Amino acid sequence: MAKAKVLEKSEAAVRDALDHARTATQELHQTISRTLAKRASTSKAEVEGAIRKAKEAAESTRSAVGARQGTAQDEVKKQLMAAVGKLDAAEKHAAESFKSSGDAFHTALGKALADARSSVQDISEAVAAHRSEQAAKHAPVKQAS
Amino acid sequence: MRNFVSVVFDTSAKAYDGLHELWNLDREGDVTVHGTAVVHRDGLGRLVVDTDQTDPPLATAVGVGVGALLGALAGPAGAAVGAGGGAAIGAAVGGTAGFVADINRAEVESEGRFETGFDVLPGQHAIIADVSEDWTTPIDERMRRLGGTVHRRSRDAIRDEALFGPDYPYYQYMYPYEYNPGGYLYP
Repeated sequence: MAKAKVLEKSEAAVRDALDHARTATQELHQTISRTLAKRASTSKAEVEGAIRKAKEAAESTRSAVGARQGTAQDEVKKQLMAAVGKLDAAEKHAAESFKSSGDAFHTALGKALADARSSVQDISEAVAAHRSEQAAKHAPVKQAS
Repeated sequence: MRNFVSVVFDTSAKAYDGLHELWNLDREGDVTVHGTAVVHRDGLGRLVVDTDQTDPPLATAVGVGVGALLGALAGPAGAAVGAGGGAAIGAAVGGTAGFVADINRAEVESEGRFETGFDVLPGQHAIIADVSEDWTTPIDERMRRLGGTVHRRSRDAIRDEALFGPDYPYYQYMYPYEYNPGGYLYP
């Protein structure tokens, strides 16, 4: 009974960590795409905001990796680790855009957007894999007749 | 199972209600939504992606894209709507803002051929979604309740078709979160 409760708690922790990472990454994508759409009227503060969000999303995703039990071969973990790499790249590209202007600014921010989009994809795939796994685990067991 | 789903509605309001319900299903854990777009067919017969940008001129063109995907989802049967002339010329927001694809004649013809299978009449709206679902009932039920017509195909089947290889830009126009268009409204 106590073991079941611990398991339930740990499953909830993974689910919350995944949800948190997904939301942070979705917000990052939204921030960068809106910043990029403003083009000439983009302020440095907005780019700084994007860099900060990229860092937060990467941290949040690392926490989700930590919350998830299992080896590096685990599907959910693999997707999350791929997302971390892309979020780090998004932060790097956003930082490059901060230091540049004109075409170089848009190129760097465009790369950050592509990284952000790809990382959201990885995380939503991790969420789907986790949900499928939970659904299978909690599906009613057929009685032998 | 990973599927592409399209849902056709008669009005913009219903389409956005449908989009909201789809993301609600995701929040409830019944399905996982990887990306969505809302499109409509304008008075000139073109399929246009609704974006959340406030400035319509920022809308950029998607080459072989939305119309072809919608056609592939609907399958080979259906009314002929805007073949060739109805090719997707719409807005792209997603992977690479400012992406503009060249639409050459062959692509437009291919897309038109696919699009003949899909019935989005001028003034109608459709949701396109990339989802993971263990069963189809949740989406089917909620969308039917809103008056939507659901079409669905597996991502693998779509990817096996010539136009939709791994380089097809699904994510150029699909938002990975719920969105509402900002500055302009549709009839």
